[in-house]
Amino acid sequence: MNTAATTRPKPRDQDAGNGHDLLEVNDLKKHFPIQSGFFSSREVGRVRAVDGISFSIKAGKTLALVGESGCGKSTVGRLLVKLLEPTEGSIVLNGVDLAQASPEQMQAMRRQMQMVFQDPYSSLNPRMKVGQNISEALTVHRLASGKAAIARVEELMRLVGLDPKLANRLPQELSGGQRQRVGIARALAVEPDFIICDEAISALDVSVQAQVINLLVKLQRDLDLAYLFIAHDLAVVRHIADDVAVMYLGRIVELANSAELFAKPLHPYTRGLIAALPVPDPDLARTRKDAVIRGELPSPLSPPSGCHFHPRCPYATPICADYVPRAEVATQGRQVACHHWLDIQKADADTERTTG
Amino acid sequence: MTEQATMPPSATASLLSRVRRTWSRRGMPRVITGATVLIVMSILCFFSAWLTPHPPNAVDLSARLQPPVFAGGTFNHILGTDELGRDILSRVMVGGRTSMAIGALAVVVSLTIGSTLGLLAGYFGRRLDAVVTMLSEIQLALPSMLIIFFFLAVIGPNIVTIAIVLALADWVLYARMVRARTLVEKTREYVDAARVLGVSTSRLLLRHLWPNVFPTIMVLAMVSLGGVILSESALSFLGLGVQRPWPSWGRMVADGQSRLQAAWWIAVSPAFCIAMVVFSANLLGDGLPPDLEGRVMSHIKQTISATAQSVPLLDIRGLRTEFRSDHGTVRVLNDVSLSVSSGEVLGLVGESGSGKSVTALSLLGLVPRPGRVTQGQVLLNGRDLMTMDERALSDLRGREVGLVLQDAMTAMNPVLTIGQQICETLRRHLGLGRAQARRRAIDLLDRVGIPDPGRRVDDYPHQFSGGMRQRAMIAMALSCEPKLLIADEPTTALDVTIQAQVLDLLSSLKEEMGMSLIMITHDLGIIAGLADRVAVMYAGNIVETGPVRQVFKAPAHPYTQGLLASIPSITDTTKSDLQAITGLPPDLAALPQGCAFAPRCPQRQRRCETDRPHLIHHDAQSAAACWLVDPPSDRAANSTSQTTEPMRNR
Repeated sequence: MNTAATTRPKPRDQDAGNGHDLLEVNDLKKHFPIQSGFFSSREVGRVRAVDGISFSIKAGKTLALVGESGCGKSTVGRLLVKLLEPTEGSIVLNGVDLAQASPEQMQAMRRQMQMVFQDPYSSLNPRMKVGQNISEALTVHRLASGKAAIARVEELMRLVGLDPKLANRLPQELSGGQRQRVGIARALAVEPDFIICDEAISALDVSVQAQVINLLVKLQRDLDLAYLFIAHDLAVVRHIADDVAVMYLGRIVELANSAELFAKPLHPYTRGLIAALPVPDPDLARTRKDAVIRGELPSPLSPPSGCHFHPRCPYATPICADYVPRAEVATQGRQVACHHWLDIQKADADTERTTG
Repeated sequence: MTEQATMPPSATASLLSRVRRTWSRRGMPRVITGATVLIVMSILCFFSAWLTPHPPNAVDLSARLQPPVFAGGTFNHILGTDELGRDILSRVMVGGRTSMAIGALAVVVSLTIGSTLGLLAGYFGRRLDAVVTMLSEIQLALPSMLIIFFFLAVIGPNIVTIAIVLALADWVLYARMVRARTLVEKTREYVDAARVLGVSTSRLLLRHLWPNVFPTIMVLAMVSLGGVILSESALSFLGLGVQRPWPSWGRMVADGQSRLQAAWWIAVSPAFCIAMVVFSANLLGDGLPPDLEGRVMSHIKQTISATAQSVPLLDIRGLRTEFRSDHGTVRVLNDVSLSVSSGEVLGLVGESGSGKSVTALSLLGLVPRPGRVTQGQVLLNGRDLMTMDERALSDLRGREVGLVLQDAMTAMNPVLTIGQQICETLRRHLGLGRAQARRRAIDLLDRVGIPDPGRRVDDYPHQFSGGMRQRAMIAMALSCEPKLLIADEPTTALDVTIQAQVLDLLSSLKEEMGMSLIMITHDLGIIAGLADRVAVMYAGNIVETGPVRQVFKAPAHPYTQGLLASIPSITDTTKSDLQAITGLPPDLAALPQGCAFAPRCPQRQRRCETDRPHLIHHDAQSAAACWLVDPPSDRAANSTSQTTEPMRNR
């Protein structure tokens, strides 16, 4: 009871700051078969929602997974927590491959990994009180019961900046920001090392977003949490992430340290994505109108051949339609999957020299 | 962060509690009436062994066929007697016991079987679902009355067999409804959350899903209780019910029908009881709130879709909009004054509940009930829209003012093609012929950048992607070349690359057509890139307005300052904490007495808590509603005349 009632400060004595790989994802695939036929279910195609992605997250660090809707980023999150079964690949968390884990192993692993959901209005059970929503995890994993559970819920609520008195309210009596805090408290109840935030702040009001971002950052510092931060808002990602993986139609097109990625995006898609971002500065906003990406996201049912991005890419050549670009290591810890990233770099340097 | 607890609940929460109160006003009397009648009748029937004035089967030939007391009978037999002199009141009470026991038992059995199968089928899907669905389809295809006759004839009718046979006819209703609800509920994130926590399947079904499905079933159970009692009566009437001499209501009606002319009371009394039970069960079922969240959402959706039509160079003066309910008045717009000049882009920013969308609805005369514009003028080209009748307003909407909404899917009619919807506006407002309208629709689609417009004009809204739909909606709003376009969060639902395309389109169309644009959004980035002037709204007030560069570079109001500081910047390389605004947006139903922002304001003074600041010009183009902002002293006299009408504290 005692261990459950105190928040575990997790001293990670071995390599504290520069942690080990907590999570390692290798060649992860999720294909959804498309079946047709009235009596037989014949497979007529597959949606390759996630098509062979690899990344790793160190303890206490944040990897952001960004991309437009339909790129497969949320599917990755759901695969990691086994809400979906992967088609192929491995998900190794703390040395255990979740893709092969038995139900009993998985149940134990759920204590190490939790998820915060997007919609604060549907992610809490509306018929359970706030306190019950949080204590459900304690009951399921037999971490605490009775008075100890109540005390632990109070402690968790304080931890996420909620008044413990709200424990007896129903979720619908709370605001969106408060509900999201409840969602975070619920995830923290099992004392995980790793939390997946699936668009966890995009449904919140602007002024409340900042509070929740600050909370997530503070919790990371205090509890040494690792985050997989799935989001489409690049400004938030820039603020919160150590590393960023950019996804396009089921593949990672660029993976880099956050500062480097935003300072100098290598992949044409990343460049377009950053250029499309509205900047809250009237002077800056009006100078960067050029690099709008043409066209729309193609159907994941019949993605373009070769590099999925080639029909929208300003730098595309015939080779892009024929061959899938491999992930190339650009610099230490930085990958880019583009046939032309070096040429684009050179062209950039040339324009800089001529203009500057 | 602990300030949160002391803050009033958010606007949504208060909307919910308001809906709950409305429900209690409309639903409560029905529930109380229905429940009271049912409870009283159940008590009378189930305790009939002690309550009956006469033994129900006591034959008294000396008192045959006595009429009820109100038809000239005696108080000894209040409801009269039958042809054997048995007391009708006593028999009705005992008969009710049988009828209601059968009803309750049948409902419990069918509810249990049906909802268990429905829950499992809905949750597990696949083969189990196929089997349950097929069973229920077979059951529905068979004539249930015939099957009931068959079974009762074979196994012989008694209370339990009748109840079970009737239950077997009804389980399908529960199974289908529970399955449908489960399919909906299981897609909600709390179910995923429970699975991620490692909640076992049985616990997930019983503790998470079932409580969310159950309320809908209660309604159905009440309604079918009435149905089962009717069926039982029908069976008894046909001689397949409970056997003599023990009465049931149906049996009594059957027995009484032969003497309907001479002794009507024998059949009418039990018939009346059947009617009462069925009626009050339905009343109870009706009054139960089927799904609170569902109602709130549909209310919100209605509010949104009500804006799906459009309307007005613009001068808004002292606009005040209130929503009235039994529990007081909520002022959602508090003396809002705005102006948009020709060719200008005004950015209206605020968080949800700040009143930015209501401003658009108010000026178009589209505020959903129970909302009402109670004060103010909206001058479009000098004509006051507030004094226009509905017909004149609707002529104006679409023609002079266009509206683009966030969700093009709900704003469009799904059963009409894009072309038909554009043509409808063109023909109504411009009086174009069919062929002319179609040509122009194609032209418009081409102009908003839809590829192959000649073919896509005949597509339905669902055949368009989100970005294309938004383009089509812009085409629709622009079809009559309005002088003013109001865009309410037009790109919030779109991906960033598509958002950039749509914003580019709006900006170039504005230049091309020389129209004015009101851009309503919560995204300060969009405003920075597009707007000439900004108005910042908070809790129904405009708290700051001015040229975009000035407001962004030197915000005067602490709220604007906080808002700008709280958004992470892509160019920011530091990893420090964001300067979040503490607390929550206020509940409009319980605004603080002074400045609405005061409880969250880092610079608040005593005055801020007691007096509400007015919008005061601090230079020629900018104004802020804050006590900290001083009007320039040399123009002090001048600026007081420029302030909007003083706001009265409520």
